Amino acid sequence: MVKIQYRLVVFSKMENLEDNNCSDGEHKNEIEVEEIAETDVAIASLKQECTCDTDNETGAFGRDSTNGDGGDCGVDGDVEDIGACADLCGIEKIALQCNAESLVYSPAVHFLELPDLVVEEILKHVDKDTKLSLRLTCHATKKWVETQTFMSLFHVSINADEEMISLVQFAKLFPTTKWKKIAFLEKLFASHQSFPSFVSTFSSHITHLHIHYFNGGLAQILFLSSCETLVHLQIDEMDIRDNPSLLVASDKTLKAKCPKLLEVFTTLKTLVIGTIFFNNVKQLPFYQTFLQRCRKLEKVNVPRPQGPNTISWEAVKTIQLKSIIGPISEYLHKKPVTSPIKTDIKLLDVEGLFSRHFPTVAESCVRTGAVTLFENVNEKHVKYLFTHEGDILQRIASLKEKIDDRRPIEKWVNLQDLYVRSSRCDIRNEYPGYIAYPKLKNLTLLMDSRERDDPNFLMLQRLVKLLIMSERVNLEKFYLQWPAFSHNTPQDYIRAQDFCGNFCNLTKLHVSGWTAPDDDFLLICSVLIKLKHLILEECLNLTDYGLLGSSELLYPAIMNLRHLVRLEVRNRNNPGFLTDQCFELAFVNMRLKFLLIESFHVTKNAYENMAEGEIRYTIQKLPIPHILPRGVADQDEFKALVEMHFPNVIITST
Amino acid sequence: MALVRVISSDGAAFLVSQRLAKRSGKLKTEIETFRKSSDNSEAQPEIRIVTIRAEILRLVLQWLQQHQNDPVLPANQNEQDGRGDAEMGQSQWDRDFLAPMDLGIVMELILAANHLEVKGLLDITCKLVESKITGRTVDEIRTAFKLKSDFKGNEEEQTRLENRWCVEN
Repeated sequence: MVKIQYRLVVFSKMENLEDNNCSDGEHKNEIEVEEIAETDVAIASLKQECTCDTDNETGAFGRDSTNGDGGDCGVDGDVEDIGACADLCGIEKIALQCNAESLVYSPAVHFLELPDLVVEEILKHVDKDTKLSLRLTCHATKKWVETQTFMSLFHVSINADEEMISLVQFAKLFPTTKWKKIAFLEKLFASHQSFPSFVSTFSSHITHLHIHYFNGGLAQILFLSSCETLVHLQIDEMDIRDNPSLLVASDKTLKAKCPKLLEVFTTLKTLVIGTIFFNNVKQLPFYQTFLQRCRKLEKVNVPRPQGPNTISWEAVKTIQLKSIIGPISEYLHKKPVTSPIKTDIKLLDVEGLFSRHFPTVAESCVRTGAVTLFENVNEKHVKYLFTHEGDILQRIASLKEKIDDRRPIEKWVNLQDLYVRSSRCDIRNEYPGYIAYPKLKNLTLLMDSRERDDPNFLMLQRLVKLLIMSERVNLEKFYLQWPAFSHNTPQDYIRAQDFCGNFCNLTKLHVSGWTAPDDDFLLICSVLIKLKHLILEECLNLTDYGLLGSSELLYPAIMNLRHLVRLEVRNRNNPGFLTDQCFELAFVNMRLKFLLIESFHVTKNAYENMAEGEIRYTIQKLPIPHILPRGVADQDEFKALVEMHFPNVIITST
Repeated sequence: MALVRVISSDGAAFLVSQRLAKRSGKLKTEIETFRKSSDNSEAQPEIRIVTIRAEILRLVLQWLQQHQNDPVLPANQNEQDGRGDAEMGQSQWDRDFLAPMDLGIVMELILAANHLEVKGLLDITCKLVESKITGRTVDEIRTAFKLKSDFKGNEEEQTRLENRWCVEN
């Protein structure tokens, strides 16, 4: 490598360079230009070396290359003399051209001076909680996140009429705030007097609507038709027993009476209907019409029909096949000329689908070549698969109850959610170094094996190896449960060290009935630093040490979990061993939004002291613990205690 | 080798190869403009950056030199790709490069990277700021970024009330 070195000297007044020891504020900037022939790259790197002895160094200017200009120039004297030098090279001349003002060292840039586009870039990946903090920092930072887009990230659930009233009142106070995701979890929302006010305030910007009960009444239909921006519609219970005229009306009638409703249907991308209550089979063809009106669906589910008691279970299964699955299959692979349906359903939720119909639905997807994934598949669904096994397995996104490797493990490439009971699983082979289900995001493992099912728990060992002991960077939620009864699965089959290193991106951990020692909890607090939710239920051996660690530590171990917003330590069948020390040393200084600690050793003082700590700014919910703190006689006294110290906190029952 | 002089707001000049300079969108445009307007094809372009002082310019050039062989990121890269590159591109060198800087310098570096259109540097500096605010409380953000509350009356309390609705289910 040929390396040619230039050495140039310029002077500039660098008044604010604190790391220099120059007393007179003059600095020599020695510029080295390195030309590296191989890479054809040269850079002038400025070495700020402060020296007051400029006489010694200025004469050193020169270059030992034959290329370029300004080679033979030398500089004598200090900075004041530079102007006298008439024969300077280009770079020194440039230095001289600077007037005094331009040499002033600019002050550091303030956070609020960043351009909007840069702020947008920074905030793009900041989590919602931090954005909420920014809203409380000052006017300027509040403005950054006071956008409809930000607000639309949150769901608003309305459980009771009072909450609807409260939301309407709130909207009057903050007219710029817009929520797009609304859930009505109670049945009576349309009958309440504040409902018209709610509709006029919110309907124009709702994109996600979750309705618990929908009977196609006039108020509900008008509300739906006013939701012009609706994209996701979820209805838990759809009741057509009273023949809602507008719901079963023809397009012509609907156009005349409620034209906007048809437009709403055409924008829907998600349609989820839990159960359809009917009186007569002749009422059900409405579903086909309903489905065909939604032309851009990307996610749909298979509703379960629920008829009067006179209809047998077998008949209900047949009704589902004809009246529900038929239209869905038709939707998937037919494009009627009269209704230009786009068959781009990406997700099909089959939770309500009777098992034996699964192959019918799955094969119709395979036949049409639709890129549809199946959600909420259970073992019975899979049991009925006989043809197109490979094609169908790779379309399963979530599975419940059971896995077995008689269905080839390598085919389940798109599995994201897995909920299995260890007693039901059947893993017959070893898979050393193999990562099964590489896209797994949520794992629930119920450890309910009994020895008689599998001598020496060989299967259990293989299952644990398959699911736990391999690196899963996509895994976000892990629920590990030992039921209280009816199993004898050894507790030491899973230790914290088995999964802590592998589940580096875990945000939610829920363990139940786990009798691991404190060291395991300590490891969790030290390693799983991205946790947002930590729920420890019936963990018999958990003491203060498991969350705080040794007193020699700089700060309690659980405070490593900087993102933790929800902490629950639940004990119903044991007294719990956490004490006030956890509150004093850790919880009061954490930014928790939800805290539930059930322990016989916690006293009233622990909650009183919380009012002094950082947590008072962040806490939003304090459920009433099953084991009340010592010094608190009953639930009412607990409520009074919380209300006195945290007036804005929501108190819920567990 | 073709060189270009880049001059900071406080008059310090840096002699940089054009190849390296062109990794900055802004410098590339300036060089091309100079070439079009200049009769002498051998003439050395001289670019004055009036908004960036020497210390910051040096840092930008130092970063460019280190990343001279990286692919140039288009400025309009979409969100997901940009995120991936920022994360993938943050090497140990980048971490060591940014580690000793205080937030004021980082802010200046962000402005410089933005002005000179150096996408990779903008990504890693933005990410550093993001990491400084993520998970912080209101008071910590105020302290870290030297911000003062300018809420009047019950404005702050109203915002807290507003935030209470922003709870994910």
